Amino acid sequence: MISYSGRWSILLALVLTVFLYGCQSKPEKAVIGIALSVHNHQAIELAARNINEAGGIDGVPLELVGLEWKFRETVHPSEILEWAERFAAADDLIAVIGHSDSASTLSAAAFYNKHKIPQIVTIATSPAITRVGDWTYRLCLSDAKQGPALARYALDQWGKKRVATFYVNDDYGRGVAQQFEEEVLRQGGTIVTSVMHRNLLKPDDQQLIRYTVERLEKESPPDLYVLFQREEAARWTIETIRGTGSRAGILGGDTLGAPEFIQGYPEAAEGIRFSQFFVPDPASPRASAFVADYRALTGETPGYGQAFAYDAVFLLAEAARSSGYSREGVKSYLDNLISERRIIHGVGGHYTIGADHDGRRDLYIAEARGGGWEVLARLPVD
Amino acid sequence: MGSLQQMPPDSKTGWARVSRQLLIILAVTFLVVLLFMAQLTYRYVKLTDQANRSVRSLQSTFELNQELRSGIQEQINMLHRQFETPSPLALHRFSQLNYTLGERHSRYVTLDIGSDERLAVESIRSLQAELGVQGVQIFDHLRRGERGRAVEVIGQVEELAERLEREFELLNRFQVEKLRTVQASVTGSLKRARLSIASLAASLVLVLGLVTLLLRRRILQPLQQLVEASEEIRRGNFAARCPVRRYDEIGQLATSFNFMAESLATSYATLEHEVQARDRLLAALRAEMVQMEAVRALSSLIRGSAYELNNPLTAIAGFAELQKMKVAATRRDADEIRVLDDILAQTDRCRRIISNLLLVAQPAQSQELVVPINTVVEPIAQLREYEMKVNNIRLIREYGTAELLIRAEPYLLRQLVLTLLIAVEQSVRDTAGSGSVTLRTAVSEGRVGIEVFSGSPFPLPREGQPENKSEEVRSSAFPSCSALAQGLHATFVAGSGDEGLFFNVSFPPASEEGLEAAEERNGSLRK
Repeated sequence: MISYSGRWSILLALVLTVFLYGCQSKPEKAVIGIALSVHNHQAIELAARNINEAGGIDGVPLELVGLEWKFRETVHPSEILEWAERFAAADDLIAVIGHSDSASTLSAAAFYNKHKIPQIVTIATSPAITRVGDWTYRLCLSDAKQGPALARYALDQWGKKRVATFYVNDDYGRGVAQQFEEEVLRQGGTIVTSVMHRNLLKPDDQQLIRYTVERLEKESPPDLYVLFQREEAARWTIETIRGTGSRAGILGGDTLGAPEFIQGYPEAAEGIRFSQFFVPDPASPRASAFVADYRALTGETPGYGQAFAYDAVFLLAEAARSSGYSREGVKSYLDNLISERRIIHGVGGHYTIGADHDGRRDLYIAEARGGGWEVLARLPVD
Repeated sequence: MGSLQQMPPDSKTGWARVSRQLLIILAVTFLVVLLFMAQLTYRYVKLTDQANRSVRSLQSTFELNQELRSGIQEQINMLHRQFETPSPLALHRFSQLNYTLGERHSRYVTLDIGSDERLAVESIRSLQAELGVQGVQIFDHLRRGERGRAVEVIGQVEELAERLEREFELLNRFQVEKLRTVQASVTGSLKRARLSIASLAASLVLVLGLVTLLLRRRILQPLQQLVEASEEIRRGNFAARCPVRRYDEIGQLATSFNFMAESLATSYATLEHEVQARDRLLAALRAEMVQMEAVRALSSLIRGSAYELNNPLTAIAGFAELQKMKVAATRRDADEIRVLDDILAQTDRCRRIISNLLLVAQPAQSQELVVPINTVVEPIAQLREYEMKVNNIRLIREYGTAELLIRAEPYLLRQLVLTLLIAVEQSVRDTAGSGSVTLRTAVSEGRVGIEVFSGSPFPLPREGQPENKSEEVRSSAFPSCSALAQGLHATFVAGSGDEGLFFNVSFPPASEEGLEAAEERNGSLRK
């Protein structure tokens, strides 16, 4: 007959054993949800392949979900919410990487924060994104940093004073255009016009842009056109500007630094300047290897979107390895990065994550040349 | 004290202690109530938090809706004003308002809203962005003088505004629905809380009932039985006992009560026996007192008679002596002289008897004197010897040394010896009809003793040892002897056997030296 205290001791030992076993056990897999545009899928897959070929995350294979969700531009909010719910329901999912544009990212961020899913934003730059909640982290710069930095470059280093801005009337375009224009005005420049339009230009939009450019060139030509647009709209606007014979400079936001634009529209892109988050460091073997692997895989040069997507996968793998294969563990790891101000060495460059959950990294000004680009300046960012 | 039942050991097995049972019940009840209160508090806090969040979210959403609606309306108004009074700065203000509305839209994502609301918000954002774009185009058309085209677009803007209004209405409906859900949740929780409280109250009543039942069965009923048993004992029924059915505190109390009742019964029985013995002793003493009064009166009569007898006896003796002298001188009749000698001898004997009677009948002096015991005893022996002889009883004298001195009141001592001789003589006459009575004085174990017994002596209990029952009966049968011995500060022991009675009266010696000398010469009497 076991005594009363003996029974309690056995029960306690069993609970401890189960608890310790549970603490030490690993899941069958670690799952990351991918909510990025199709341009970034190959970089993501490359990162996952590299990790799994190296033995996974301490033996736990990394699995990606959401790669079958293939989109190039913005998507309908209902589709975003549907995928967000699918990610939340996925077994062993530790985080979501995405989304690609600010509007989609904002729509999804509230859901992820409500369901306590870590969200790693790689290229969406709207300042509002990281204000949604504590479960959202961003690897790139916010427009609150990029817009003023571009304005200071245009006025101080490039010597432009009269600026005409064209921006897409969504969260991305409005956010960066507003920050840029406010800084231009603060720096003593002039906004000669500010034109908003749809993301996918309709004839009304094209007519508006053409008339505006022609009117400006006839009445008071600006010395700088600034475009916060996506590829199609930017190509059309640049061709319109050049069609008027304008000799003004053209400065684009980070979207124009993407290979999809520079390599997709090399003629339109030739000679324009744009902000660039990703400058491969030739001294970094890892960055060089990434560029080489990506080129070998796709035949194209990776941009910041691909590099940051690659880094995001490795960041989450390290988080799971260090703090456990759970959403809370990943968040704990990312919060420690912030509190310790730890520098993260990625293929996209060195960066930290600030207390506002926004990335802190170098911002470059590059000029498109011959389907490629050259760095002109490195901009100081607070 | 008799044989009392042993107290049972303190049992910690079998029946659990009542106090422990009550403690367990109370502790469990307390824990249940505590858990219930904790759960209720948790539910309340959760519900309050949920309701607060919902209310805050709804409030923020309503405020945001209002701001956006007024902002969008302001944009439409700006467009209309541009038709009436064109302003070159209007486009800038319109763009700035567009930025502001965009910022306000992004605030929606920070609100705790559901999927339906979020889709409505996204639709509003999309429509508002479209409105902004079309608004800029209106400014462009008006700038270019394309008023007709501008009117066409403003018509589209109006349609957008209507769609926006519908979306806001839809959003409003969702939020009202949400409010109703929260209200229903609160109402449901309150109902559940009320039900839980009622359940707890019912459970507490049940527990209270159980505790009451337990108290009644385990405490009150045994206590009632205890009270009834006490009442029985109070009425004099010392056989009343309380049943012991368990070995908890109440059982221990009942056992203790029974133990006490048993002790009380035994004590009472002993006391009653002693009272009866005292009553018997008192009655005997009273009889002895009456007898002693009679003896005293008789002594007084004897004394008076003795004194009176002395005179005629002296006269008779004188006459007899004179007659003898006369006969011897004149007739010298030998027969007559012999008769006169007999008369003189009997007269002398009568004088001695009278002298002894006077000694026995001498009044008490209430003063102790150092007296030789043999001297005191002998006259009494002489006084009773004749009658004994007449009754075929031989008086044997076994006197110790003549120097045996004791400190005693002589009258009481003579009374005691006389009483003892008469008692033993009577016992011989009652049992055998004839025999012997021995009167012995001697030193024994440091005390001077007088022993009176019939037949051969038999062993007596030593002083300090408990007497057997027969001796006790015999001692109590001679209360006057005991009283006299007590008055003489002597130890009195009485005994009986097949050959008759035995009495021993021992005195402390008048002096140690005299005692030692007496022991050396006389030896011990009864060792």
